[in-house]
Amino acid sequence: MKAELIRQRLLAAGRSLPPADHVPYAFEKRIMAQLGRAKALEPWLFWNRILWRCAGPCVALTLLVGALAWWGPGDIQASDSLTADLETVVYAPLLMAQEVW
Amino acid sequence: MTEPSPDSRTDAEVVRAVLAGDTNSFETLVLRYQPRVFASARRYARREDEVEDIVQEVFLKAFGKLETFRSEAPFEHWLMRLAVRTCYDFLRAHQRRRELTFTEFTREESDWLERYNAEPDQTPESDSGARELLQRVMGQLTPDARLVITLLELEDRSVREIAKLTGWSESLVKVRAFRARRQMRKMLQVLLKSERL
Repeated sequence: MKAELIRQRLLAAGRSLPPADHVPYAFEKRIMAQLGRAKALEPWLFWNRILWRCAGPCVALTLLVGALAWWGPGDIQASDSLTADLETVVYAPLLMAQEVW
Repeated sequence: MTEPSPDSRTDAEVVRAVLAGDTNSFETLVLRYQPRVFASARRYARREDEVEDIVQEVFLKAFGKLETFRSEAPFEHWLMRLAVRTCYDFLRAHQRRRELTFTEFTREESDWLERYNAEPDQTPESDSGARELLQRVMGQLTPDARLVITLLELEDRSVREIAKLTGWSESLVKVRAFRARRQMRKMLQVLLKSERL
């Protein structure tokens, strides 16, 4: 009970004098200078932000392509082995070049 | 001190200007609200350099998050939410839990306690000893408890207001207020017991 009374009295003392709202001289200049320094770093921040924003769509696209590859209609011309398919894809530009010449 | 030229634009107009690339307009917002933020920060930090660091962080955060400000609510409310959360982060980062003992008290604090013990009704509330003692006791509370006691009992804010400021639910504010009062009472009880006041 006594602790509660002291608590009430102390809080009343705290309420009786609110904290000062004075501001150090030219404090706003300090803030603006800090912002200026932050702005100097902005190109990197901008680049960083772009990379992060691109990350989401890239992941979504990867998942979509993955899903299509997995569940989509099978390739009619697909051969039996994955190795042969891979070889065809990798050498496709060379084969096309040979055909042109 | 030179008086800054008054800017007649509303807060929402200034915010729009800053977002459009006129960074210098942000100074208008700083000039308007820095006394309010300083007063708030002084509730949580005692050293003036710590207070300045808190206020600086509040405004830097405000600048960085200005895009998230919606003009439906006053800018001051939005800024004070940021201020309260920054002060809470400060309290968590500077949390010190030590046993409070009578021997650590200053002369003024012990005098106030002795006078209170002798004549409880005659002890002045405006006494600096009482305020110092309150600061010391508040300094021993957990960050949650200190924040909720400050907002609820020193700033006389409602539970709903505190919930908005802190981002806690109203029931969580009530629970934390209950625990904070209990924590403060326990602390004072230990103190009274040890000194047989």
